[in-house]
Amino acid sequence: MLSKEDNELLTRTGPGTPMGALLRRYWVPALLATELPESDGAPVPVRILGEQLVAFRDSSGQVGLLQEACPHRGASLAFARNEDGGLRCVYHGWQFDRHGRCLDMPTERPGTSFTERVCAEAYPVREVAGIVWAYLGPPAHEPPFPDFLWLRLYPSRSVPFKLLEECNWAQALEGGLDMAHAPILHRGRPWHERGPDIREQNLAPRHEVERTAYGLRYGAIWDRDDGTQHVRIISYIAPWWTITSPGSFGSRAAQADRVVNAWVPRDDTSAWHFQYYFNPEQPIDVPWRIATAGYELGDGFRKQRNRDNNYLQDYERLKTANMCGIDGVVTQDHAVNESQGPIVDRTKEHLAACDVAIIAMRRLLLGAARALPEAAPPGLDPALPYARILSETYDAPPDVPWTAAASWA
Amino acid sequence: MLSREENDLLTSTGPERPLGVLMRRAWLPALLSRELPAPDGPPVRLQLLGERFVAFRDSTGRVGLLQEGCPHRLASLALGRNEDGGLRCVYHGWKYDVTGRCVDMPTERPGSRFADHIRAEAAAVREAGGIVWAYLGPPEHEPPFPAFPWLGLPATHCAVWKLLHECNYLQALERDVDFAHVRIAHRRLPEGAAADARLADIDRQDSAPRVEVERTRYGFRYATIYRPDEPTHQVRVAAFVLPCFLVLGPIDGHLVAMAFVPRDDESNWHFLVRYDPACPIDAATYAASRGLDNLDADGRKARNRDNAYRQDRAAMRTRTFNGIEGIIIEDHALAEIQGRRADRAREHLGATDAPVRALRALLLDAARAVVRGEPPLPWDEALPFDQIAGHTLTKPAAVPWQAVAPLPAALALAAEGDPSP
Repeated sequence: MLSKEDNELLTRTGPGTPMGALLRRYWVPALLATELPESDGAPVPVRILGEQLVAFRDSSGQVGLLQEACPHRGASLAFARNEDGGLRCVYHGWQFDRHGRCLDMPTERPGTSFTERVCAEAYPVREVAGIVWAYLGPPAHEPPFPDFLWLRLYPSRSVPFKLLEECNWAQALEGGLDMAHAPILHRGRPWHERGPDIREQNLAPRHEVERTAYGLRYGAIWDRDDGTQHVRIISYIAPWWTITSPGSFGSRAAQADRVVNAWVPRDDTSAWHFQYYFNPEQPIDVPWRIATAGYELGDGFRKQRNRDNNYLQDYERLKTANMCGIDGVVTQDHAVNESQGPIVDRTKEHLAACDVAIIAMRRLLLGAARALPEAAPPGLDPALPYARILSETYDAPPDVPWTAAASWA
Repeated sequence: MLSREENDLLTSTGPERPLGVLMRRAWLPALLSRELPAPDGPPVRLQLLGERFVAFRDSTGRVGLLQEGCPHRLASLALGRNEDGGLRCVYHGWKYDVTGRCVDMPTERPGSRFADHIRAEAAAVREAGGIVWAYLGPPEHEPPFPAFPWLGLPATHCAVWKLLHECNYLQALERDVDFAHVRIAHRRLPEGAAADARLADIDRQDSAPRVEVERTRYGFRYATIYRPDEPTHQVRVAAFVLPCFLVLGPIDGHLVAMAFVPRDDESNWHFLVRYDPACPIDAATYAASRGLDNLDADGRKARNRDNAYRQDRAAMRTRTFNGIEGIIIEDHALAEIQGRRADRAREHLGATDAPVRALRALLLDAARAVVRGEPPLPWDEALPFDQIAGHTLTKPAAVPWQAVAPLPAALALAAEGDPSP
């Protein structure tokens, strides 16, 4: 349970909010590189952290990210002409390059210096591993770019996805830090049938959490009768990343694929859910992944199975085929997160032993937001070995603590 | 740039707001006469200045404009029966005439006097120039009806349209006092243009006109002087008439006038009049040439914000600067993409925005006059609306445009210290 004040602090991320200030200290996945397929192509409106921005690929192929409103009289640059190294507003022809510099102002008389005094707000961007990343924070605090393992792989082995999740970012993130729900919500059998998987046999493993330099490690431990343990460890990387354990529901268990999630606030009542599905050893089966996860999307990256059609929940299938009557692992996750409401009221919840990672994540984020600007945000130390942060699934002999067994971080 | 407070003041037109009071002191276009084609026809629901109304033409042909909600329990009179000299609510049969009087109350016992105590709020209404005009203010302040030059022409000489414009009224006015955008935003490559002609190669002489503003009794005149460095000037002079009218002068041979009437604070009704006292108007050809032929029954554009105006990126490379088809649709898009209510605290005005500044200053003055309790509008019997005109002229550079198109004396602002007329 959170107080009303803490719930506001956790969930409000627009300009000027404490959590917004914290999130703006990190590199943000902003859009897929495929949304900007060609130089001088159509610009794309981008909404992140409650701000209205426009992205474009200029004549040289470089990506720019500017305020959407033209600095002159605020017409949307998403309608602009994209040519000759910049976006040219269709209203009065003012043109801005990807740094926000005003290149041209045809309505001014020759010799004017007004162009030098007007600029569009522009944000640093990087194009890495199929995603355009942005930094929206104060320039003096721009952090090193995170060198995650899944950003270093061949494109066929690390595939980005993006979809709209219609609820506040924090409750979506909480869904990703909850291993207890997986064998229930995602079970491919009706409730009264349990599969052979130990997770379905025992719905109440030990849930434990450990604070790290980048965020949290969260372990779920299933103790067998012979004393051996089945261990799953996932990582939470501040402020919005989770890495699921190999063989989680919706991944190809035999191949040890992993899923990385990031939930980036779009505004306070919706989030961009980015995923990388990756495997350092072999290519990703993308059609299988799309079908299993439920990535059938409509306009604006909205799920075809969404709140307006009740996620096409099928009450017959719910009795005979699966636990929740909704198809697609990601769709199932979104359905429950969105069903909590646009911003869940955490004054009314009742947390249990299985929610330790959620509690730890909230504490970490609330503390970091309150500590700004005096204390540096977590996970931004340039010395951090980002490429070693991972997740794990393994069986362990009796009495080996899970924190000792995983040596990768 | 405006402060957030000024922006709020200029863009809020509800009943209690200064600009709302100002708008309610003028006769305003409310809807088109042709929306009420026949006596006892279906009533029309509409919104003006943030308030909901129902318009109907009664059995004798008179037009009424009433509050939409029936005074009984506020069921919409837009669903009402229009018959026997009034509008009858379909819920309990209460009936109102065009003046708002309750003429029948079938739920009351015979002999009840309750109907005498009930009135639907009714606006003062006039029909002129194909438009139903309404006065929504207090009766004691009703101004003379404005005798704009296009009123009283034969129907063949005057054509009117009404469009839903999905942004605050002020953005629409700002666009149409800003002629600097015209030769950039509406730029096209002509048929048979050279193969290497590029839309991006804007003619710098055309794109940076000199603009001048002259205050008048009714508002101001603004002149746009294209190619100001050349010995001969092409000049367009147009007039802004408080609170929301424009008289643009001749465009392609015919005259054009406009009104942007707030519907609420995030949309307005764009009334467009094309007229010519000298010869008939070919309304259909004009409508097709401007994109006015593709509106639904409520005046909404088929190409609108929901479909990004069907902007055509391929056409932007070869034919048109902005990729949107139809001058009026392009114009609407330009204002609507500023947002439903533009944030003027973040803008940067340039030299050609002088009429935009003048417009805001004048409306802010009028709003402050409202707050002080002074008469906010110059609409009196002495103001000759029929002499308000725009001009399209060519003149030698040395001759002021005011010398070629002088302002009639009755429209000139009284000089400082003069006794008011």
